[in-house]
Amino acid sequence: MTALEVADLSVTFPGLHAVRGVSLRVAAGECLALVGESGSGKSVTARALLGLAQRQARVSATRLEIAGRDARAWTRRDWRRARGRLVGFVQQDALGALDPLRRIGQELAEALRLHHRLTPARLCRRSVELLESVGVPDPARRLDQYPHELSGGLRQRVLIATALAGRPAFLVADEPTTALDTTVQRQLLALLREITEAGTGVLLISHDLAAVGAVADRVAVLRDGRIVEQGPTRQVLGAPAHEYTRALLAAVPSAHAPGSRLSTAVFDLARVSPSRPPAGSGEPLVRLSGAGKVFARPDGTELVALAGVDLTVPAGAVVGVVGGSGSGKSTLARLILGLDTPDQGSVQRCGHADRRAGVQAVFQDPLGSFDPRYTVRRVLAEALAAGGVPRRQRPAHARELLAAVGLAASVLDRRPLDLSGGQRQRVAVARALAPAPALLVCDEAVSALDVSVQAQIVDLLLEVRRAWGLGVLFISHDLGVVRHVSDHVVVVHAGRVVEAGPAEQVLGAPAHEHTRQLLAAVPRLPALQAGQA
Amino acid sequence: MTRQLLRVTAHRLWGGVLVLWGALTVTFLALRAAPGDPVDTVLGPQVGASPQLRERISAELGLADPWWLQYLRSLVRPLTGDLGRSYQLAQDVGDVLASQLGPTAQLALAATGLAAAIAVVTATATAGRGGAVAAWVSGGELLAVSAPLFWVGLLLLSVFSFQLRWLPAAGAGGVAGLVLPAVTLALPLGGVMAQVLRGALDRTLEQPYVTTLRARGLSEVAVRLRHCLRHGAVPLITMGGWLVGDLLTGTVLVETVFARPGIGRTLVTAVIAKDFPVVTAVVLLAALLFLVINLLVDLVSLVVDPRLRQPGRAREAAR
Repeated sequence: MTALEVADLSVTFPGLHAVRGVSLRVAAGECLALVGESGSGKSVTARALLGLAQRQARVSATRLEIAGRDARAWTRRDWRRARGRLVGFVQQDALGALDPLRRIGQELAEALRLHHRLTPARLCRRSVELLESVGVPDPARRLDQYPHELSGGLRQRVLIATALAGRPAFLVADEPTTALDTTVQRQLLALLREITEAGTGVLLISHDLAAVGAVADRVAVLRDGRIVEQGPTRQVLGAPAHEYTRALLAAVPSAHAPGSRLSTAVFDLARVSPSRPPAGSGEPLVRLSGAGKVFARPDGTELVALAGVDLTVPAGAVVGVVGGSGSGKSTLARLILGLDTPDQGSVQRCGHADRRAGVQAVFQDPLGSFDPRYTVRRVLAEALAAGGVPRRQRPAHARELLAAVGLAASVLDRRPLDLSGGQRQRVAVARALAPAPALLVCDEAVSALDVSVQAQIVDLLLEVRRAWGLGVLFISHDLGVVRHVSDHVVVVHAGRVVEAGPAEQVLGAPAHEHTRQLLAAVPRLPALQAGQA
Repeated sequence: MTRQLLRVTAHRLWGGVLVLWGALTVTFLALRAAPGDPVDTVLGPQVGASPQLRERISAELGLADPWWLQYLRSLVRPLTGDLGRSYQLAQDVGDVLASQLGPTAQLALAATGLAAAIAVVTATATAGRGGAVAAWVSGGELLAVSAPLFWVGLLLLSVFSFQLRWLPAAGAGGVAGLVLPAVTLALPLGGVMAQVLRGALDRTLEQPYVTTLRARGLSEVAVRLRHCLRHGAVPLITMGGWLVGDLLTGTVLVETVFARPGIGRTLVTAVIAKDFPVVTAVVLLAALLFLVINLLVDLVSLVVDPRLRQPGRAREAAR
């Protein structure tokens, strides 16, 4: 039986042809990965296959079979009956895919009751079994917990469990591992593989080529609503036939020598020169000695977020910080930015990093870090004002900054919402550079971006570092990117620095157990494993 | 959770003391600043009272004492449970309030229930849906919110009492007499609640977990009633204090228009007559009600949203 057979799927919105003739086939016990960048139509396809396309969307297909049943003439009611029973759906959890006000047990019970008639005792037993089957430790206790009391990985497992409650033959997983640690990501990918092996047909939607390579039997590459390439995983990722697939693969940092260019983007840095003398290379910009931070929980207990951290960021160097979520990476960033004060030890900013404007930050979510009502012009003018640039010089400076990050001056009058993810993050970098900082703190600054956009931002950061002699603290859970950009690497685990040193040494020959675990969890492209890159 | 509840309660109690003190002080000042003499109230329509008589009454009421003594007395008396005697009605204020509380509570509860029903039905039925019906419903709510209460009351009276003769025009006579006042009071309240609820539901319906629920095969009705309504209720609960305020002002108007007995009408007559003890007692009662409602709002929020009970902030900050 085929889990999914769709031919010539087309989804149109008023003024937008989002999916143009996509044909896919997922056999039972097979995992097909649908890979594409944001805006390629991946999620629209996923929703169409669940009968959950937006109200304005028009969906058509010459063939649409879900778990062997023709779904073309299905009414809304038919679709509702099919969902959960014939086709299951797992979303990215980072955005809160579980109702935050309901206990795990309630969610599972609801999903189970929709498809089976069960006595309360059986219901409870089935819930525990389901949680067990997706590898949730201590399942009976979880039933009474709320989603926010679980880690991201566990939440994702619970979500998968609710999707499996009706034993669907076909499972759509939309970016199920995005925003998770590499260690957790690997475990979840293994779980998806297990589900596939158990006979479910899985459509895995992702922007992450390397992650997909670890589980998928076949890969389909989507671009602008069309499939440009489809074939066995090894073939598509190892010997891509289409130019776009090759470009996507080339943008993955781990496929390149550290520090080399990943994109062909052009940044005009020459025209903007920092108004301060360049710092001598190697001169320390910030020095943490034994720095620690403790948070009090409302119930009175203490949470040690960071303890005894010694760290120096010298001018002209990139210091990478890696660690799982909850390891204290962001607390470290906040201490260095002066947003929090250390409870132990000291954080000393030196040289030009001593001024508030001397340390700037780029955060993960470019949309959330802008005032949505501000135009780019206003965003930059505000940042320039903070750097002490006189009002009359600000327009010219703003244009130069945009050129420096490779954006046209026409972007000035647009608002963050009207920009693409990559443009937004470039504006965020431009804003961070506006007050001519000596130190840049990048907290997961490229984590939410598509590989090709990530490549441009990474190139930009490295180029700015070279041109201006900036010190950069680069925080990420993505070891590939960290290896690519960093001179030094610091590994944080449970609030402590467990390993620090030159990047090649720490990531090439890790001394600490935790670093080895992190590295082992990184998904690799098959081509890289075979040494063809 | 219990520790957190206790702490919230203790914190609120201290704040409550300050609020009551403030309310009494403002009332004291306002009543003294207003023109008119309370002695006239006590005397009633007797015009030719001798200056000696006026002085004696003034002394009896304590109005001849220095202002600070009067002020202290107004603060301390309620503590001892003594609300004083009404100048106008020559009755204990406690008894006056007790007799008027029933009709007002009936009216307020009926109106709140009706408003909540209006809000839940219209908001859940139209949230997240465009089209003519939603536009009309939303327009109707806006009209209900912006129409002056006394005008709505008079309109309902003229249609349902005077023309159709379905319902009585005045008095507290049983359920039939409660219908029109309760509807009048509920309409603007329900309009505001519906708009707040629909806004919250619109936002909730866009959340990823709603997609999860639909993908699970849950019906639209279950999605809205079982899941979204609880999310939508959070801002409504937060508005609780404001709603009670609105309700209190509303009862003053409605009780006047429909000539119903109740706290609101008692307050109006007492203010006009400068009946200090009654006004002070009503203000005290209103302030207490506010305190209790706001405490309830905090506690109910903790019950509805489990995230508020958790050390989540510390955990998030550690990332």
